[in-house]
Amino acid sequence: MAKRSHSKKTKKSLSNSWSKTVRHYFRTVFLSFFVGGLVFVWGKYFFIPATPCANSLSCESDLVEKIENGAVGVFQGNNVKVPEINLAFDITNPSVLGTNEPGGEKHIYVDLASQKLYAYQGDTKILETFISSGRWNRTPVGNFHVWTKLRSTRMSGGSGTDYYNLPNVPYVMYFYHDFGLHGAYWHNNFGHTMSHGCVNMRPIDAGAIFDWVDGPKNGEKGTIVSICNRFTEPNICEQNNPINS
Amino acid sequence: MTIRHQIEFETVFFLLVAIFLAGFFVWRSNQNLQNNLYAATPIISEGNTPKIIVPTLNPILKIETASQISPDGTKKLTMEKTHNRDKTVSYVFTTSDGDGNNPHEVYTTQLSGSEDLSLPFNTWSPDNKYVFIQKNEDNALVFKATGEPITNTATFFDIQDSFKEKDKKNVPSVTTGWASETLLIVNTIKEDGTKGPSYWFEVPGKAIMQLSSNF
Repeated sequence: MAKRSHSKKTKKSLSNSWSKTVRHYFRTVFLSFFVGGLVFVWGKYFFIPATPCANSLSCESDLVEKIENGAVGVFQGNNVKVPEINLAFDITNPSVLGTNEPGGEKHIYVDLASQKLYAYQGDTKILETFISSGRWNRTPVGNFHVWTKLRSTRMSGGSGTDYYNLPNVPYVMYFYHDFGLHGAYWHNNFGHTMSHGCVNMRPIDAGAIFDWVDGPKNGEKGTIVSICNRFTEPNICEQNNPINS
Repeated sequence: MTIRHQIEFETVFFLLVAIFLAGFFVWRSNQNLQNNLYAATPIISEGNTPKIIVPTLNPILKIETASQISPDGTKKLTMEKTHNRDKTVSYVFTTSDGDGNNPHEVYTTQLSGSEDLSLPFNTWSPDNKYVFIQKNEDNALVFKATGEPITNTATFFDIQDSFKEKDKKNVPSVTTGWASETLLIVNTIKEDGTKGPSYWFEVPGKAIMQLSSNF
């Protein structure tokens, strides 16, 4: 009799102990998930990665119009002769790109695979030319709008042999932070990657595009710029991991 | 250690693991964002290649007259190609202002039908002082834009010959364009036919410098 009673007590005790252990682990796991979730949300909120810059030295401080005739440029360790900019010539050279074309939405496509830029007005292609996209930094893929147009500015960045400091960069059309379309007077290797993330063009092409492109005005966004990994025709723009999808 | 202590220890351990995992996921998540910001060049598997026509950078012009404007639009290089009765082809290259004024004859030659000269897209140096002309598919000739001899002893530089003179084992395959006012970018192939390194060809010094990355 005594033996049976002892056995019952032991079973009851084991059952209670097991029940307590399950409750304990359930509570602990729940608490862990809760705390882990809190840490994740807090981390995502406070540890946002810095926005990349095409021009590491000038992207924070120099996104303003600057004409510095007579200044000397530096690119890949070499001094570069900087072309002078005379705004009087801009007034005497009227914009002609797209003026004889029917109206329609303006859209710029950049094809990173073929290193070409296409400008469309509606369904009409009005310009096609070679460009140089990012070699030292990658050009961001996605769909953007021109957020500001600058006739000229200074761009600088890099370090060591990669240091560059280029005044009078002409016809700048920023589309994502300090990534922009602009003229490049320091090289002529278009059709091949040569930039720090921007889209370089011959100054003559950049000027034509600059006069045609719309910046933001009256609450409307600027001209659309689509950076494609591959482009075949309007609205067929292959984008891998676009940053603003 | 009492059961109570053991339970407290386990709870703290679980919490630490949870915090560590959450931190890891934050880090991974931010890394994915970074990768999206710096979008990678696509790797396209064979058989899945989109069918697109990629234009050539160095078109072989079949027309009689062709020209290439300088990057700033102020100068122009014109090529006149004449097919002779003896099946040779005569070429005349002339630089001028963008509007055609102030012409300078740069180069005149007559080649057999198997050889070819053409105007690359990036023919002009950024400062408009030099031009290069593509010869066949793998060579380039470099001239002063004024039509003057490029040195006291040479009218122009032949890229292939310059590589041979310097006893380079890699052979030029294509000259892509100008990295600066005086540096041409030359891609090469190795003796075994595989892709070789890229070089800078310096004008007018004729120095050849190997680059760490390929163009």
